[in-house]
Amino acid sequence: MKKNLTGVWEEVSLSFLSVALSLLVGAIIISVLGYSPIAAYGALLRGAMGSPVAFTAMIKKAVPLILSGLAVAVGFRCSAFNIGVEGQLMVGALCAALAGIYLSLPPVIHLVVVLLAGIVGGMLFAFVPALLKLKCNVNVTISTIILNYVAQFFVQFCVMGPFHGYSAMEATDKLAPSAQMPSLLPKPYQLNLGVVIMILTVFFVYYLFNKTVQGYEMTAVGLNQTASQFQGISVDKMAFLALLISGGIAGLSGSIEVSGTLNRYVNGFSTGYGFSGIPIALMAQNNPFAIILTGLFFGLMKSGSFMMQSTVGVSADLVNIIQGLVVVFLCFENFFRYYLAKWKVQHV
Amino acid sequence: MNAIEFKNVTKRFGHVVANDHISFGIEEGEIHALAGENGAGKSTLMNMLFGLLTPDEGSILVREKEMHFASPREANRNGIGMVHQHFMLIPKMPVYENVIVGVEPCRRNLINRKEAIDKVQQISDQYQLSIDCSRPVGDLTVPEQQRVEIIKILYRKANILIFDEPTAVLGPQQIDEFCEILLNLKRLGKTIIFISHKLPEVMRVADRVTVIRRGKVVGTRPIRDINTEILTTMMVGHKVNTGRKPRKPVNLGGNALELNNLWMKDHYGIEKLKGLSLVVRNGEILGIAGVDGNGQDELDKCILGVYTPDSGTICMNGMDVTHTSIKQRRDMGLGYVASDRQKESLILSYSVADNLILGQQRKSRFIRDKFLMDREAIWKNAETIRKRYDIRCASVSVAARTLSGGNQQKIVVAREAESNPNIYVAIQPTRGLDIGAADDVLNTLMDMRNAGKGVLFVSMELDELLSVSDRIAVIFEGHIVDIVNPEEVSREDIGKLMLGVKGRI
Repeated sequence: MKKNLTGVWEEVSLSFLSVALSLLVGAIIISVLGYSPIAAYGALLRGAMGSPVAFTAMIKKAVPLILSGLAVAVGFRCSAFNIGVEGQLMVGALCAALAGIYLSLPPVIHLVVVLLAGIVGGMLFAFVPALLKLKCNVNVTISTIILNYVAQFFVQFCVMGPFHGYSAMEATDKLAPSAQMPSLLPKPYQLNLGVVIMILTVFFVYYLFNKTVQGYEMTAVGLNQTASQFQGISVDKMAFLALLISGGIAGLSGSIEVSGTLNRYVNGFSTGYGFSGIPIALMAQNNPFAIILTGLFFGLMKSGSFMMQSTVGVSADLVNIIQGLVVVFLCFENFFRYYLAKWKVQHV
Repeated sequence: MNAIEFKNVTKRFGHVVANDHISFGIEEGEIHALAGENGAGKSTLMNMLFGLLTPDEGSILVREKEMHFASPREANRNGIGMVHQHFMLIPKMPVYENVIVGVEPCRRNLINRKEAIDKVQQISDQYQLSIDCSRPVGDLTVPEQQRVEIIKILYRKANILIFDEPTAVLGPQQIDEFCEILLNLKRLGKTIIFISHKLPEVMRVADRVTVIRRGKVVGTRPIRDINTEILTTMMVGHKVNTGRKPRKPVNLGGNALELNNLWMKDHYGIEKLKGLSLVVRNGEILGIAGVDGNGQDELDKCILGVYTPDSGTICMNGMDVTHTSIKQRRDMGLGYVASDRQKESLILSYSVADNLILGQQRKSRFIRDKFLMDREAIWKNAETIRKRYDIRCASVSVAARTLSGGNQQKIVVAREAESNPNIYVAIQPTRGLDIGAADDVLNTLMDMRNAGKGVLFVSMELDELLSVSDRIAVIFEGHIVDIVNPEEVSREDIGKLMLGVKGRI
């Protein structure tokens, strides 16, 4: 079906406006610090896309971010504000690692089992808040935030204790070779099968929300709970389903990192992928294809920041500031809309 | 002297002319009604007066001085205040804080609460609005909240008061009280502009009325020179048949819906349903009359299955459904038009087509391959319904949000009728609709009845109930006090029953 094009354009322009304003404020901060914003942003871009190798590294960095964004978006679409993607991602990653270390299976099957273990791990950990919501009406946002800490320390305990590897690292042993994700390109390029899985997941989410009746119902619940309930849709069941799918995607994200990048579970490997998923989904207005773009943007910032720090001298933390500013400007949405509407009234 | 005069005011939105050379005056100290159907251009005109929109042509004179307000705040400063249809109040804050917000009386930058309370209470007392201004707004009833809005604009020293469809949210008795307040405000020297498409109130309180149709002024008349019939013809452009709708006898089969001795307490432990029993037969429209808040809300939601009664049974087609889910009841053939279309019936961001299947999305004719939505079937369904029910929209793929209230309601009424129900429950389905759209809705109810379905019709409008119902049950304090035949009963009799005066006169 045809979408209202002007409406879509308005949504897109709001996201671009937020990014542009954050970069502008970032530039001001860089100038105040006594550096050239052009040089800094130049280094950021070079670091992320200056060479084919850097480019593939950037895409690889973006994969867990995009998947986290998708996980968050699935929950958001159904009004299940899953802030626990980070925790589900860690639990999923641990489950994937354990399946990779302790099972011995033939090559392809082993990898599939590892990824499935990650998905199931993430789902199981999302099952806790989902059940609390269903049975005791516990607010999902709060329970998922709390459970992030539970996940963090539980996984840390597992890695330091029962499943600690032989090396001195705070990590498990290496996954069996059959459980490691194959590279798509020869070294030094870094792209692995995770990119393909990520793209498949994007299509899965698109398909889920735009083609299936479950997606129709979940979105309906997200947009208007009362009307959905009055029309006979079970609001609780839909939120439950959305949380499980969200957790599953989060777990998948973690297992790709373990199987494809780290080849073992390293304590503290996630530098807030799950939390970055929130602005990634917000910026993309929960649209799965737009999440690829916003995820790549965040990936670019993350992977280019090192080059910026080493060549220009601006701290890599600047990208965190810019990411934070994006969220702040996104929250200005109504402010922008107000002026946009006013401008329209005067120019029609 | 004219308090306000419109001179050739024109406003266009794209190619649509919302206001076309509007000219008329409002005299100081009168109640001037602005009547017209939905979308006739009443609100556009008032929004220009109030500084929300700028006219393309023409001028607005306030006390014979040409004015261009850039914002509502500026209009306020010039003594113009507006009570909007949807209240702009903060429920958690007490009345006086709601009133003073933006113009707080301060001493050394601190709000002088005592002065604020005194001032606000004084206004309430002076205009006999009987509001306790230290109570939180959220605890007040709808009419009380409306009076807080009035206090708000009086506090800002408004002399010209605009009311946008103020009676749309009120029940019959509350409308009486509201009319008293208007007349009282007039006695105390205020000029009032009263936007409405409800004619009885216009006839009751207004001194003069200006009718707008399709953006043009049809005429301004003193109320004493006209009657409801003339006014209706002016508004709609042709004669409208009010009065009882023709009906064919239908072979009454069994009972579609039976409620037996329902009892129910609300959150505060107050009994809302006290032994309510009623029967809706196949092939009849059972009207429910009653003053708002006498248990209608609980009754409706017990039937749908949102609430479960504390005791008593609900039967549909002879089957006990008291403890079944909403979905089960819907699958058994319950069509339900909820009272608030935007909150309870529609997903405003969904397309018209998607809204037309909401609740039926899992029916086999809209599904292929077990769980995929059959877009083509959904689109065809929407096109058929759009033609049959005359739903006016650019296409069925536009968002429901973009449709007018009347057409939004047609989506709901049509969807529920086309789901092939055995029982059709409609809660105030004509609320906020203009005469034409309301008539279409009532005709759908008649069609359902003539097709042999059981129809339950809850309404605040006595005329509508008298026009379509086969029987009218009057609800008072949580039970049915009497069931009357609309062909034998007068409005006054029903009015008495609604107030709990028992026994036919």
